[in-house]
Amino acid sequence: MTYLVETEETGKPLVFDCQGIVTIDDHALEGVSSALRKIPRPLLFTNTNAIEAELRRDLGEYTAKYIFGEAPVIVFGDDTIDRDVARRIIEQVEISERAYVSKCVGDCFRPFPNGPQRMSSTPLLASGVFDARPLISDREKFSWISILMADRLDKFLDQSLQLGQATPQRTKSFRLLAVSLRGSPFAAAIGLLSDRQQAIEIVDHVGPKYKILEDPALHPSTPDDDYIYVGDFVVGGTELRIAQAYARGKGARIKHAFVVGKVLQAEDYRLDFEISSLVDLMNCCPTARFSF
Amino acid sequence: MCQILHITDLHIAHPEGDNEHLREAFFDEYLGTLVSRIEPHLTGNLDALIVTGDFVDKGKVSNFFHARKVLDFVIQKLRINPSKVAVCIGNHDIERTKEQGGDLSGAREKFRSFAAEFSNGSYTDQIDRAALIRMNSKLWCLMIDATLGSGGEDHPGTLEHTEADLLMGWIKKIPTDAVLIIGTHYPVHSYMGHGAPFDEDDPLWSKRHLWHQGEILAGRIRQLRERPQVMWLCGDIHKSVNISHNNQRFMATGRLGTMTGGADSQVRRQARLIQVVRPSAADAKLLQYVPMGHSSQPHLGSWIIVPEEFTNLLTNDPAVPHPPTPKKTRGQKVSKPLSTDLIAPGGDDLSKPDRNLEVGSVAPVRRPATTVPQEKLQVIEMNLQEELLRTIRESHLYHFGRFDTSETEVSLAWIPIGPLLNEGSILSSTINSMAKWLRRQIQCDDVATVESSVLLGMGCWGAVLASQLSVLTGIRNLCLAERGGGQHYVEAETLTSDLFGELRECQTFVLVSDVVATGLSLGRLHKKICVGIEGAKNARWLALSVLCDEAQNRSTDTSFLETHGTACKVLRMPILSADALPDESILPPIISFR
Repeated sequence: MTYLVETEETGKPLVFDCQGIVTIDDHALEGVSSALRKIPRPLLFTNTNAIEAELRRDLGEYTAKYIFGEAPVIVFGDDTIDRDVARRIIEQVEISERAYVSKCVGDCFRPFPNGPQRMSSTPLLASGVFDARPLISDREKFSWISILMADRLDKFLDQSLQLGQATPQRTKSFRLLAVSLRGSPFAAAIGLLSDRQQAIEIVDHVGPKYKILEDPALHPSTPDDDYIYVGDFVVGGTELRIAQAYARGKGARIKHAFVVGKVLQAEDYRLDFEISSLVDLMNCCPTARFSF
Repeated sequence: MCQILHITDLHIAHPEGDNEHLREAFFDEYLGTLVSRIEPHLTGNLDALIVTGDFVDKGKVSNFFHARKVLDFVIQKLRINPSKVAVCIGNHDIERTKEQGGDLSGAREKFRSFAAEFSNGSYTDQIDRAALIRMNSKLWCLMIDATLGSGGEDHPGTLEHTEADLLMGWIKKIPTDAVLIIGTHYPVHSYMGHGAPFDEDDPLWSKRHLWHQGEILAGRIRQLRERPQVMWLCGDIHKSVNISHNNQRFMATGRLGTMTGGADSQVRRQARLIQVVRPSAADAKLLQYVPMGHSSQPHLGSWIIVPEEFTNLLTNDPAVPHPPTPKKTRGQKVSKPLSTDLIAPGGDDLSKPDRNLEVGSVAPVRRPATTVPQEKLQVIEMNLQEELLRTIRESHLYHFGRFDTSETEVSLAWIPIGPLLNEGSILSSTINSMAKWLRRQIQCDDVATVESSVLLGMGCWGAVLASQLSVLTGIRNLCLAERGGGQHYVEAETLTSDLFGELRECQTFVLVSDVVATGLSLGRLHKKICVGIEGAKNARWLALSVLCDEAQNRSTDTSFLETHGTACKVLRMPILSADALPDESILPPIISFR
């Protein structure tokens, strides 16, 4: 943080999302505090419910505090940031974040050099493939995307509890299900980052080519287990359907799918669970073509 | 075809507040996108927009002007006339003080003026309790005030038998091939109360949120031998329900509006599109507004259409006394889909693991390795090794049998890595210990060293570990399919020649995998890279694994490894030549990578 305060375009406000941070070690922000004295600049901290006292202890009194939704935003170092400006800054962060993810995903598209080819999993002609390897290889991209997906998962679980559709005990019994080489790193990262640290089940493998190399009976599950599917990209949805069959074969169901990107609108896949994606692939790469 | 959009519970509190979903400045993003999500599913124009009350919040009747703006925006976007909008009153739309003073008409005056601007102004029949509206020859709406008769209390009202008689007279006039929408703010059917997102622990919940006397009307309708198709639409409970009972549909839709800020800020806002193809076939699409990004901004989001459970209750008893849990309901699920309802389905447990493979406790026996010198194979953290052994023992994860991991060799043991790493915090302990070990092998604070190193995650679990180690150490990673020599994967998942360019400058290769048995996969990948990249032979080669039996006879030469760190090296996992076992028809493999 000190590095960011001292080096990143110093005229601009910095926004720190404190989601998931439950405490701050003593003196941990001393460097930030002294950097702020040298280079005064606005700092905005969001989701500070758990650490507001520590922030005030280390950075002094804040200049403003606003509540958006249930999440407080605390401003340090600039008393001109009113509620409206703060809201716009936070919104801008979200918009930039989405643009960043779209760019990262767009860069994953690899067109076929010799024209459209039949896809491995779904009988569609594709002008190329979205390959998640660059997303996983690059730690910044991988971290960013995993954090966003974990955020979505936590929201889904919170919402399920609020709707009275799950007890905390039942929420714990969800497993994250990954069925491919590229889906597995995301599932593990989300499981580790999620507030509830969900268990992971990796099936090697259902997609893009189907060949289950492990006996599902060797993966114990409890009677109440249900699945949340995690994957990289969904084009035709074949992988999802096989995963659904796998879950049913174990007496469980897939309750939701979280993926980095998908081609169609969620309802067009006609599955009996919802698919959440960070981006729509066709928006990230308008030149991609999929056809029968 | 009849097409109806149902929205409810706008709860407009502070029309211009930035925590208000329905603030005017947010119309385009919120309502505009709702309409654009609906439009592709419409065949022609919408026949009706039904709004079932709670336009304003807590009796703030001055906000009806804003509710009008909201509806105007929606109907303009949908290109329909205000006469296609039918509304009914909700408990929040009443001026409570007037109601408590006995001025029932005055308490509803503001709502009625508001309603008169829509189709309620051109009713076919009307009394204080209800208005019957003819949208077209095939679509009728009976909008009912379910708050009337509550005696000034904030709970559902009554319904006298004489009123039901009158309403039945209206209903009998409706053509039997038409659709009748009955709009009430409060749900009628007691099944609908289950799993409400708020006040669910309130012992008086049912009294406060279910219009029990509405059952009188539902029961009377059921008795009609010939009647239009009846759909009850309601709100209040802020959740979606879609059930069929005695040939009547009962649908509740979650709230469209309300300020954010409470504990339920993230509960999704909803709308519902209903399309009636023919009298007996109605398709309901539930739309939910999914918040995007981080939870600090519950407003930003997008509308999605979600699958929803539709339950057909077969019981003929119209009065289900208490909200039953779906598990106990003697109902038939017409379609299995269930996305937002997280209650476990009934039925037997099919998922219990087969424990017959258990062979009891694991007793490591030390034996010298043949091809991997012991000094090369290091335990990355002794405590972790103990933890892994304890977990394998206590969770019965050691499976004994025939596991064909290659063409020529058979492993007699199998430990499913997922269940092992899922125990407690073993996954994060393993990753942290591996990262520490890796930092001892590679100078991770030296940029040039880091940039000239690569983690090769082999198989799914190898990819998981490598990607996490990459985040912790800064060393980039590649995930590669290697099981069965990669033959069961698409080419892009294996090591292809276009990756050689990326690996050309690498000085250190770290092979990361879950289990090293024969070492065949390590050897195969090493060979491929050395063939494709000149100089790779002289690079540093390290390996990291969760399990590797130090005593195993490895048929593959892994002497190219400078060091191999493993989380557990003392667990015996014997390997035999396939020739040493009977034919597969006599001893079939439990797992085969062939």
